[in-house]
Order: sequence, then structure tokens, then C-alpha cells
Amino acid sequence: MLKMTIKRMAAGSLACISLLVCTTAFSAVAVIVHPSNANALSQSDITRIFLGKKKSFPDGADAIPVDQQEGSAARSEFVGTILKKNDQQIKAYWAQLLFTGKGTPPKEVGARSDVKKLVSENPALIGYIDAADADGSVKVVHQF
Amino acid sequence: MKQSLLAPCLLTAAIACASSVQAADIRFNGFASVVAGKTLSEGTSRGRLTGLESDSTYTADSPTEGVYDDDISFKPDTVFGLQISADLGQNLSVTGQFTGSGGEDFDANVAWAYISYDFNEYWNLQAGRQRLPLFFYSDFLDVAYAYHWIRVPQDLPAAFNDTFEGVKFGYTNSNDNWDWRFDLYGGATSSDVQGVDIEMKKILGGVAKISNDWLQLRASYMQTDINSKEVLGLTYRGELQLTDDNPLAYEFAGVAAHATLGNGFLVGEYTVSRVGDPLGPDNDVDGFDNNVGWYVSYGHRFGDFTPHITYSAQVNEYSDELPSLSSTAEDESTTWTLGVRWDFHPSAAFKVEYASRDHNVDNVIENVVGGFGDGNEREVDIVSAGFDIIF
Repeated sequence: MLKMTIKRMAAGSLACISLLVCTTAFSAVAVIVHPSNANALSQSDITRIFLGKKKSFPDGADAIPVDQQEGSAARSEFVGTILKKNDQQIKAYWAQLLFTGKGTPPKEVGARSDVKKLVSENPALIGYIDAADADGSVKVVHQF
Repeated sequence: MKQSLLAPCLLTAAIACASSVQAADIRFNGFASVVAGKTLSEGTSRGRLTGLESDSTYTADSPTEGVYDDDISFKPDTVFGLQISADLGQNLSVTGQFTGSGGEDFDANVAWAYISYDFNEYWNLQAGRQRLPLFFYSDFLDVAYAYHWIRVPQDLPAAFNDTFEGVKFGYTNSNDNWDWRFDLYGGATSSDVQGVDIEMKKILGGVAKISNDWLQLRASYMQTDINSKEVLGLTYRGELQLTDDNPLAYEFAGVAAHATLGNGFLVGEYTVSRVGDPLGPDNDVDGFDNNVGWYVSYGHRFGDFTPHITYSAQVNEYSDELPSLSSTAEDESTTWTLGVRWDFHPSAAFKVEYASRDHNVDNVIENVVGGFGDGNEREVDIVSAGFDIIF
């Protein structure tokens, strides 16, 4: 029984390591805003906006973060690198806020093409997409 | 003139709402915990005054009477919750959260029902029924997915009620490294706690929380007047009855810290609550019954597995000036908890936990406020396992 548990835990950590290897090999992700958005955003600004701690850009304009759908590789990459949490941790973080009236998670707006389209149409939005997908319709404020 | 301006304004607002991704919408979210557990040892509970021996039980959730004994039970820690939230736009929202606990036979209970208004980016008002935010975990006690245990340490002093009706002002702000939040709340409540109707009036409290990307610090204070015609023996000397003029003063204070250390985390909390003299100011008795509860917990993530260990303790010291009752009472409990959380699914966790609790009662006054234990010494071990889900 114990052996089994240990085996399983070992398998779990192996899976974890392979996952890490995978994500480091993943293509770059770009954080994007509307082209008219003139704000320079630090990584800390982006983190705060996506964690619901800040609701405006540095110039005072409304900031509305949008998420890709759950399970997308770019989302895991974004959550891990920028928000410094894993998928479970971010979920637990939002559960704490959501069920206590202290905040709501960013809207899930679908796949990367949806994010790009929405951001290109609304100066209040901020999202993230694969860096390779970025074009003139949006402005890249951070890339990792 | 005013009216003609208003119409286009409203229309613009409506269009803005509809076209934005934050369109005025209704949001459903929920959580569920399904947990089975049983006590292991038969225990050695012996009534000090009665001399009766009985099996030890373990109270997992005192407000809902969730108690484990040596038969497997699914009820004490099982809870379902559904939250409906409507964003009405213009910084106004309405939220209701309905829960059903196994300890209450899943009777629907309104845990939260409030309107929330954001004055600006910093100030917020919540009015209605809300959780009493005494402890670090109070606000999201039912949402076990959000923490590592199956249940938070039960050695903390149980407040008589976990919910209040009133208003709460919140202020949040941040600088480059720190975020902070202050809440100030006031209100009243009453509820049936284990068959006793307990009123809390003039609730006044505050919570301060500051955090950075690895550390959270929290301080909490609350005071209230507690009243119940059933809490004390009504007939004792004909004087114990609580009245509006002679409520129990109750004070609570606590500090907590949560640190993320690489893949590990350390969380601890220290709380003190004091119940004023039940006999009233005219009985030449002063002093408070003090209750201290604290815990320290460490967990470490190994991929999807998070093993954790917790030590928690509680000491009740009773005012030793109660006339003609046995006095110098002390009541102490300590618990070791070991467990593992397994995040096997993005929205669900499986948890297994073992807890061993020692409870020593030294010359306690039987059935004084809150009905503290009737045992001299007892030990109880409990195992539990279950799923926590959010959706």
C-alpha cells in the first residue's frame, strides 16, 4: 500500500518535471492591449491587473483583463510566468475572492484569435496571445 | 431638460454595457465538498461531575452540529454551495450564496446575501448578510478547495455565529510591492446554535490585511454584546438570565500570517477571545473568561500532491471568581493534523487527513457559557477523506 503511494507520488513528480520541460520549450507569449493604449506596463502592473488588485491602467483609464479559455497552453504559461502560480493555485486564489465578494476572475473569452479580436476593438482590454500571432491590430506591451 | 438628458445617457450606458465584455450579466458559481470520516479510538471521555463514561466524538463543524463518531459518516464536513451574482453595471452588484451542510441535513442556508457598491477603485460597501470575518479562513470556510485541509483547525475559539447582517466598508490600495485592504463592519445577528438561540448585537469589527507576492499578514478585531435567554441556567440563583441591560460582552482579536516559500507554505494564526462576566456588573464579579486558540501549519507542493502538517491548540481559562461554583478551571486541547491534498483535476482536489486531538479539562465548571466539555481527559483520533470541487 505504502509502496504504491510512493510510486504514485514519484510518478506525480515525474509528470511535474516533464511538464516543466514542456513549458520551457513553449513558444513566447505576448501581453497585448489596444494600439491606442499609450501606457507602459511593468510586469507588476500586468500581474496586479490580472489578479484583480488593480482596475485601471497607470494613466487612470479602466483596465479589463481577459483570459483565454481554461486549458490553453498560453494561459498556463501566462499564469505560471507572470502570475507566478500554477493552475490550481490561481483557481484557489479566485475561489477565495469570488465566494467572499472581494473580486471576480477575468472573463474567459475563448481562444487566442478571440482575445486578439476583442483587444483590438476595445481600449480597456488587456489580454495575452502567442507572440507569433501578434500583428498591427494590437500593441504588445510585454513578451516572455 | 434633465429628463431629456437622462434618456440618452441611459441609452449610452446600456449600449456601453452590452458591447463590453463585462455586459451586465448573471454569474453562477458553486462549490462542493463531499467528505467521509470516522473516529478511530474509542476514547476516554469521562464526565467529571456525573462520572459517566462515553465514547469520544469529534466535532468537525460546531455551528452546524457536524459530529463524527466511530461509525463512518458523510455528513459533518459535506457541504454544497451555489452563488448567484448579478452585475448591474455602474459599480453595483447583487450576490446571494446558498449553502447546505450535512450537519444541518442539507437545509438550505443563506450564507451571503448582499449588495455591493464600488464608490471608486479604492472604496467599497457591502450591505446585507455576510460572513463574520473573524479568522483568516472565516470568509471562505465552506470553500475547502481554497485551502489545504479538509477542515480548518477546530481548536480555534468558535464564535457563536459565523454570519452577520450589516454593512462593511472596504478600502484597498497598493504600492509597488504591497497591497493592503482594510474592512470595517458593523451589524447584528441571531441564530440557533445547537438548539440555543443566540443574539449578537452591536457587532463592531475591523480587519487589516497587507500582502506582497509571498507574504500575507492579517489582523482582526471584533466586539459585540451577546444575549440569550437560554445560554445560562435560567434558574440558577434567579439571577443568571441575560437581559438587554446585562448582555455578555464578547471581544475577539487575532493575527495571522501566510508565507509562500518556494514550493512550500507556512501559515499560522493566533486568536484570543474573551467573554465578559456573565453575572453582570452588580454581582461583584469581574474578570473575563479567556480563550486562546492558535495553529501553525506547513505544506509542501510536490507536483499535484501537497502533504501538510499542522499543530493547533486551544486554552480556555475561566474566571475564577464565580461564587459558589467550583472554580480555577482550565480547559486545554491540542491537535496534530497530517494530511495530503491531491489536485487530480483542474477544478477538484482529493484530500486525506488524520487528526489526533487531546483534550484536558481541569476542574471545569459544567455547562457554563458555550457548554464546554464534560470530560476530565479525552483523546480522539479521526480519519477523513473527501473531494473538494469548485465550478
